[in-house]
Amino acid sequence: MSDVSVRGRRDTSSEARSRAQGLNIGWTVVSYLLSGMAAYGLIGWLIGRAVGVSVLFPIGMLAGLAISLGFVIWRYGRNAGAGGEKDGEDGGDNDMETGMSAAASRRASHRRGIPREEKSR
Amino acid sequence: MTGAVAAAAGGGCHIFSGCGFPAPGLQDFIWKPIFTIGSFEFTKPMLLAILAALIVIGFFWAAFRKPRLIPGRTQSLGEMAILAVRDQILRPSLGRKGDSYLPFLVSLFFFIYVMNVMELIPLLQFPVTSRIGFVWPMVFIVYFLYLYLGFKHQGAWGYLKNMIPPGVPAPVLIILIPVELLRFFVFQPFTLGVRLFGNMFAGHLLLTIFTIATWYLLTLSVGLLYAVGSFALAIFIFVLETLVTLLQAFIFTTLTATYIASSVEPAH
Repeated sequence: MSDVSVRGRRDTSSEARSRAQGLNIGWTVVSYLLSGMAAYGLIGWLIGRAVGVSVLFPIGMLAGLAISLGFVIWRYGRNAGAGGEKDGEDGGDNDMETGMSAAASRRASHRRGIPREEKSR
Repeated sequence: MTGAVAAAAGGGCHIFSGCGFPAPGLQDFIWKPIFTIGSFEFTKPMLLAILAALIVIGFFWAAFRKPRLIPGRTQSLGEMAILAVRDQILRPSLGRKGDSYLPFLVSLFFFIYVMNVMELIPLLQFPVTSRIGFVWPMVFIVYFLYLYLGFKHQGAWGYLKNMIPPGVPAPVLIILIPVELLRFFVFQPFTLGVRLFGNMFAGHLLLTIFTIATWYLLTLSVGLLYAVGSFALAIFIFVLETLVTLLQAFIFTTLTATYIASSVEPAH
């Protein structure tokens, strides 16, 4: 097999991998935003009912949204931003589930004794 | 057939005829039973779901009934279909180790795709997945597999431990626990199902609106100009839906593959 076709296959594979990562992270973020609002909205509603302050329900929802938004930025946004500057070519290649940059993921895999290539397969 | 489609099919309902626009709505997703057994009503979507399963089973049976080293046309098509799912959906998430899940993912992808694409086939023209009752069982199967594989590969304690995001300080973790629990057990499966249902529901509704509007505006008057515009939009939505049917099947199966991957191989 020629170099071109090997490179072509590798490109398609990494493209498909990053597409799967993007889909997974995108929908995880949506789930986080919805669950933050629902969880703290529910807590606010329950407390509001107990103490007779109905405004705690929307306050809880907003607080939940703020918490999940902050967490999403901390977990996904931070690594994506740092990855581009620190890791050079690996910048956009983040770990699918953790959102860690490729280099950070490689270091973590190395600590656990799993080669990166094997882990990613 | 009920609702706006039935009203339009009546024939005489056009603009300026005194007939109001038979706007499509929820009633167009409710079907009269083909037959009933006691209180059980067998409807068109059920028939289409069975037909979709038979098409998928029949195609792959025909393709691989007698596999040959030099494949024939059907076998080549079957191999292409399987390799597409393997290279575009399975391998990017699970790698070579995940090849044992290929039959499940291929079946899931093509079953959803055929159910979706029925929207675009004349006479059938209804996407089964626009009825949410057909989507939840698939979400349940995927989520059951997700949890089962997680417990099997990581153990109960390990699985719960791996649900905790890595590197989060303890005080923040306490705040995050209700969010994580709700996300994992409610909203993740909810978004998986609702996305497929919502896209197919909206697509079918749009297609119905523009098709009925074309018929409604089709008169020898100024309405004819609007009918042409509505027909062009119906064609545009039709082309868009050919992509959406494929895309929704792809997204559902890709997310299933990433869920399986995170159960089989914890990321942290």
